[in-house]
Amino acid sequence: MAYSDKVVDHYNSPRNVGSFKKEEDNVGTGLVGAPECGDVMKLQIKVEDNRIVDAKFKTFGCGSAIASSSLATEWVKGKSIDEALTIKNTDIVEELSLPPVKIHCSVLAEDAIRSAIKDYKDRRTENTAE
Amino acid sequence: MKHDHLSSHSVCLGCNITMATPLFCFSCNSIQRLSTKPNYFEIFDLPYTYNLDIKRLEDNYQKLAAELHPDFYLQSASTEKRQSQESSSLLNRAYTALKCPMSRASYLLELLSHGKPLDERKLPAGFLEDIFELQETLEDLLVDVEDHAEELAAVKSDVEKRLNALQEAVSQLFGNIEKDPSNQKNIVESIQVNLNAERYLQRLLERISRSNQV
Amino acid sequence: MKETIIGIDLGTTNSLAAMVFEDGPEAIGRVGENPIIPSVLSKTKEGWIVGKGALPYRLSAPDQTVYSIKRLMGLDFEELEEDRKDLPFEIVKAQRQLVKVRLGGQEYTPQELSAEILKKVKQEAEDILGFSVQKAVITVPAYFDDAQRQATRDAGKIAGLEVVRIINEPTAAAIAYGLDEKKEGYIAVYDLGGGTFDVSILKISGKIFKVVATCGNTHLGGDDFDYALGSTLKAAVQQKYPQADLNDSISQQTFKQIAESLKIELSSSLEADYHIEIPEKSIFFQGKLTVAEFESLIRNILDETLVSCQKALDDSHVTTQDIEEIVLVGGSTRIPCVRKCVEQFFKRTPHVAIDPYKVVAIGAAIQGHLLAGGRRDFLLLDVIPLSLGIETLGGTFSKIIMQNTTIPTEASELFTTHVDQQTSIDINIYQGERELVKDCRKLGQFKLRGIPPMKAGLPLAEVTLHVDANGILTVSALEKRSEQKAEIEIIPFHGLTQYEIDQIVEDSFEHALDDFNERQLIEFRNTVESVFKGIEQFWATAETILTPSQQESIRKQMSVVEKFSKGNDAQALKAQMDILGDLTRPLADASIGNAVLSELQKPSPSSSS
Repeated sequence: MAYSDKVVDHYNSPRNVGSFKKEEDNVGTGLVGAPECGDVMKLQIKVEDNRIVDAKFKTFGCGSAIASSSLATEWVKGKSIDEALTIKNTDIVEELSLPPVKIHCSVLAEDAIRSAIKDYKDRRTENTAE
Repeated sequence: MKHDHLSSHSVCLGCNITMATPLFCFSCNSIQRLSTKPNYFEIFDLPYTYNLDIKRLEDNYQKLAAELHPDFYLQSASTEKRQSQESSSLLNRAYTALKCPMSRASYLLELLSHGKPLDERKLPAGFLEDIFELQETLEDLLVDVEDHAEELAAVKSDVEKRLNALQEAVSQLFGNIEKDPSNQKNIVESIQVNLNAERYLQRLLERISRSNQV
Repeated sequence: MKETIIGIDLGTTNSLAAMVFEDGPEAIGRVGENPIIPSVLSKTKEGWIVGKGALPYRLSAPDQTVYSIKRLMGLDFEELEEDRKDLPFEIVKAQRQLVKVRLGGQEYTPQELSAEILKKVKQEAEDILGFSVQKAVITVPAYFDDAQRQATRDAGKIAGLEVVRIINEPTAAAIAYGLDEKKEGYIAVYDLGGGTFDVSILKISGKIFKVVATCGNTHLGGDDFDYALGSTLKAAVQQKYPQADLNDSISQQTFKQIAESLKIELSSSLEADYHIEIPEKSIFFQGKLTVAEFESLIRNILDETLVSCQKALDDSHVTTQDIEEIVLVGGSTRIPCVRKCVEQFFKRTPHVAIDPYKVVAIGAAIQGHLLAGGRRDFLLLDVIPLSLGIETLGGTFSKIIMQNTTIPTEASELFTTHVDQQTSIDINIYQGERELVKDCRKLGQFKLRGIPPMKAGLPLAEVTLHVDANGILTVSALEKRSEQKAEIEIIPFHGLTQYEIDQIVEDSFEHALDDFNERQLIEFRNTVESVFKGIEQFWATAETILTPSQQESIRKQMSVVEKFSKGNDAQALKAQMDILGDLTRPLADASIGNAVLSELQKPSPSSSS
């Protein structure tokens, strides 16, 4: 058995590649790395009224890492922040049929979502505190 | 930690002499039967230290390979033949593990942490941001390798500099353990952080060297 | 006398044996004759014709004649898809995807056909040396994987040779070169043979020859130059004769042979004329080819070799400046533009002092000498050319032993069960560098049996892969919780099973003749017969020049010889014949010119060594 069609599709034509200005108030940035293989992944969300209206990513890594982050950006779009936090790496594994040796790529994507939301929240509290 | 290896010298099964290495007795020229897997440092008669005498490692490897290699046991009894295969395999693995500074550090950490897993995710502050930036720079340069040969070489030497600094740091940290064994736990953790970072830098180097291939 | 282990270069186009004589290593050949045996064999009514004698059959009986069989070694049917079209002999699919060649209604494995070449090499060597040869070191391209090495070893077995060691061709060349020149430091061996390309970087320090990295392509070589040239010729002919069918074996052979000779001619002149005649099709064509045209035809192939050179350097962590010397190996390196290309890449003039045709066999012979206990002054440390690993769920390849690891080596991996009470685990072993198993070569399937029944995930089976000094893999397993040795059953994916090899050896028609003693007996018995005839014929002369007691000794010795010729000991028979020879010397002198009697006076080959 080879990689699933979905992985290949997300790898060949990844969705939402790019970046937002991270200084903008309504943008949250997550930057994570996979120690297993040295992959790095940046995932950004744009939030309006507590809802993720747009998402972008940039990943330097293998096909599974790119596919996982591409899928993650698609899924978070339109979700509220709380809903986005319920996305689990296992959902990504299932959707893309990732092999066990590539599970860490989905973990990376989940971490990236969490870290982007945390960054967004942190900066909001900073701003309101000022 | 660097002296206790002296007590672990094994005794030749044939002539009862204390041997410099558990693999071979240079006094009666006999290959040794191994009941347990010896420690890599013992094999080369070297102290358990990161700042290793590489010349001695190299010399002792060659000396042992020239005694243990299966090519010299083709005409021997089958138990010796098998032992030479086993000991040579072990020798080659031990040599590879100790020769490269980073794998040597990993092996030492494994010994020092007594099998307890260390945090493999922790990185130096700001490190991941740097890596991401380097990856982005590289991405732009790799669009046209020929045109950006100079810039690529500059990135490469930057990454290599970082790797060297990292190895220097690891070397110092190991030195600190030897000076002050009481603080071992904390130092072991910071060494691990450096080893974690090393993988990201290696990954960058691989990417550059792949692009250089004709 | 120490036992002799000869070295054999079993090449795609040519094969050669060498050994270490008292005054040094040398190819085994007859004085004044080229010792090279073309790796060509043809099946005739009388049996196999191997070597030089088989060359003309490539044109006269192309579908009975096999060459480049090395390209088929250890490969399976699907992997040959590309090559199959270029080969004029018929290739069929046998069980387990094995490849067989069909000749005269019978099917042969590449191992059997290679064995025929090895038999010829062995017989020639024995006839020249005058003693039986049982053991050999055989060389293979560095980039041969486990299956291809196994296949080579099996060919040796079928030919009645104990293959004590498989060594890499470039490494063999480095030994021959390094011991000759006593160099230290890094050397690069660029080996472009008929069908394979390898580059190896070696570090020589003291008595240790260590291969640091090796890289290559088992499907790239001088044959590809011929194919490239051949298809250009074919296209030119097709243009003039649009209706002609040029895909049959006669046409293909014609293009191949003209391509071969053009290649040689263009090595020494700037342009060459050629004539293509296929009278059966009324094709008469003439044309001209320049060196520049030839170079542009093979440029892609040469560039591909340079990619491997760069990779080998990268893997060794050295640059071209660190390389002290380039050693060229393989017939194709005699082409000037190949040399030029290597020279430009390494920025250094290649070393060509040792005959590139002989250097590999000589290196193998030196290694054989060491293995026989003849010397200890050097040690070869070789590497595994391709990573070894297992298939993990989802078809990914997980490497257990990395490429360019010094051999022998071993590494372990833990496995567990997925279902309660499971007592066996299937493991697939692959070799290659790619991420997915579908892009790597499957070496075999391993069934781990005898795992104690436990809950899923509890058993811990430690599977260890051992790679010996030949680069050949074996596997062992241990269940950690129960300390039970789990049994492992290997199902080779490409190669032959032990049973199949035994079967082939048993079936081999000429098996009895394999034995050197047996062959000599037949030869000596024939000599006895003709010598006896000769003696009877000249007996009248004998009565005039020999004393009665001399005559009686001859008669007596003749009956002794007769008795021994009915026995089974060739050497003993020869000894008795030598005595008869001495006794009949006056008779032979008196009847000068009698070929039969002078036969007896020849020194026997075995007594001279």
